[in-house]
Amino acid sequence: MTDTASSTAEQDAVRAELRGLVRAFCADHLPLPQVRRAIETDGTDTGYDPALWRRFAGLGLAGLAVPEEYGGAGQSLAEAAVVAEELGRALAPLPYLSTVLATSALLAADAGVRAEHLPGIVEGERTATLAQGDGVRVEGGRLTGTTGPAPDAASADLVLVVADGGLYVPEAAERRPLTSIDGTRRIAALAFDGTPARRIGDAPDPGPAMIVLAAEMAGGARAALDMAVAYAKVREQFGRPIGANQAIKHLCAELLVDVEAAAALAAWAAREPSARAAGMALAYCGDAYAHVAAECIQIHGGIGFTWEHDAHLYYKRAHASRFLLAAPDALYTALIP
Amino acid sequence: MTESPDAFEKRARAFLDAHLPPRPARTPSDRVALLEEIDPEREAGTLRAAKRWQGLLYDAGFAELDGERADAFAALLSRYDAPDLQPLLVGLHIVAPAIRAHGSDDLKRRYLRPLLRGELTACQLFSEPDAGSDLASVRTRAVRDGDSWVVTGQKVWSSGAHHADLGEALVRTDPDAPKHKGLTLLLVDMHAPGVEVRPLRQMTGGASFNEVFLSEVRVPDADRIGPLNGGWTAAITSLSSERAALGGTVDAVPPDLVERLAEQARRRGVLTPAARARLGRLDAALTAAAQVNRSAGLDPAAAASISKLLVNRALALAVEAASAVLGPSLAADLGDGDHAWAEFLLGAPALRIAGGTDEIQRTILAERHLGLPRDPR
Repeated sequence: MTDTASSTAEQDAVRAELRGLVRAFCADHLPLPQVRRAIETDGTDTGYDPALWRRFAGLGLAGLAVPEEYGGAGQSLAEAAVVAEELGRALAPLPYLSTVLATSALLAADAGVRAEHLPGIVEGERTATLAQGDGVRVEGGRLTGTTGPAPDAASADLVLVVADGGLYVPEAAERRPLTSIDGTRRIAALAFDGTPARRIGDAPDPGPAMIVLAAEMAGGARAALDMAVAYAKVREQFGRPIGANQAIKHLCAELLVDVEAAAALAAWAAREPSARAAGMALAYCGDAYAHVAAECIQIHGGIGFTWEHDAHLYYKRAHASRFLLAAPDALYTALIP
Repeated sequence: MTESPDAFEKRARAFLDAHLPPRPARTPSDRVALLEEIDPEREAGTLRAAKRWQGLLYDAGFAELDGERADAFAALLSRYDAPDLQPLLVGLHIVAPAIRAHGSDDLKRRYLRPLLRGELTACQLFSEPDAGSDLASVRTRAVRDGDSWVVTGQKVWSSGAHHADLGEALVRTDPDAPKHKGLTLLLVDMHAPGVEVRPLRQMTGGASFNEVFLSEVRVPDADRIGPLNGGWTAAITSLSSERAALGGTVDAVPPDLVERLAEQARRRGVLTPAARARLGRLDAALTAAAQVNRSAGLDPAAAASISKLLVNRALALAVEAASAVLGPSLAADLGDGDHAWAEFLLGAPALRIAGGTDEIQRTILAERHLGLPRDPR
């Protein structure tokens, strides 16, 4: 029988190692000047470097929670969430969230479908995403209507659509790129007009992607806090660092509370997934990220409002992400039956 | 060698079945208090029951469990009508850890087991009228006399001092040293001559704390916790344990607070989507306060301060929710049974002060954990 205490310690060690790996990958390949390239284009490109994504997948990081029989690492959502937290911290423009959306949906599909699609996605050879088709009708195996915004939906090789309680693979899709305040993640809607589509399963559990996005936002909030604190230590006014004033240092402490609470909720939801935990973590991490990113700009003062400064990247990522999968108020409301 | 979670649960369940009746169903007019108040009529019985229960827990090996087992045990325990351990908490979670970390072997041998078994109760004698947030400025003097110290001064905010056997006192032993370096921690016999305890009436109308007057109280040097003039470090251990005990267990908050507020709102027909969202936020803040203490890689001292601040954010949301739902019944006893919530409303301000004010927690987090410049001291 396994000792729970030591297995928890082992899991913590595995996750710490994974965290270090992803942090080093982002430091090597995606420092902020590199990330900024994604926001300096007209927005019609993939928004990320496909070769870098293949390299990331080559480290076994694209299919962490996918079973080994489909080429994945056979780990749990908790490990996938650790990776997300680090990617969020780096604001990494990589199709990680879209990949989790697609792979977690495919895992609930028929065995044949899983074997057909998962290995290529996990290896980084093909990209995939999932769009919510609340506005899409299904009639006689054909889709009509427009989906909500989905990450990487303009560039993904495979698009999955949730419509009318089922999971569909459409034969084709009109990709409609959408302008987002967040230049580090491309989003698009998919439009259908009587497009034939194959039903491959029931509507998937949205939980895993919600938890991964929650973790990503917790990581982003931590980076915004680190940026604010670093500046508060070096920026001097009235002859001393602004961080010597309680107005600033207590604000930083409050932001630390937001960051650690968000990280703790995301990690808890990833360890013990449930609809309740997913909704709570996503809503809370979104609130925390938006708040920390906003105060990060304030602590910087005027310089924080400039295009050249990186503070706005977090602010924009926070506000774009927190509504991407669900509205926070609806999530909080759902916690109280 | 190690017991599986299932085997542990089975053993715990058998133990609880043998000693406790199941928990009775909750009623809307049950107490929702945040502070335990001193009640001379009931106190002796409560204390006796707590001591007996802690002894049983200790002897059966359920008194000091690690994280996951503690959670599993607490979850099981919530289904039973267990005696309230409140009168013992200072001894268990504040004084015993300080003795364990800093006490001599002799001190540990004499006091640790009796404290952990609940045979002895303890209180803290830290704050003074002029030493609150600036705790290191305490003035209570201890003067050496042979093998003893003679202690004189006034302490305040001492929970449980009226029934405590032992007091963990922070006293000044070197008035000429810098303020942090002239302090020593002594274990005072609360039954000794010269100790006078007076309950302190607070804004709720009740009393949860005491003032303690020490007049030439003799304390053997053998009852010193940690080195002479090294009391500040030992006191910090106690304060961190206190924060962990206060915030970590989120114990002060009624465990079913969210459900009870939702029930009240439902009964009154005001459980609107906006009200549900507000209660959902409260639910998330309370869950975060509990989960922060389980964060891998987060320093436990930081976690304790963060958890305390989260509990207080949650309480602010809860007070807002209670006001919105109960309205006038919160302000006055309208005979509907809901005025019990006034106790919650009136107790809430204390939690932002006790155990180190929220402002002190922010200073600690900013300086020790974020490395921001220190306040002038």
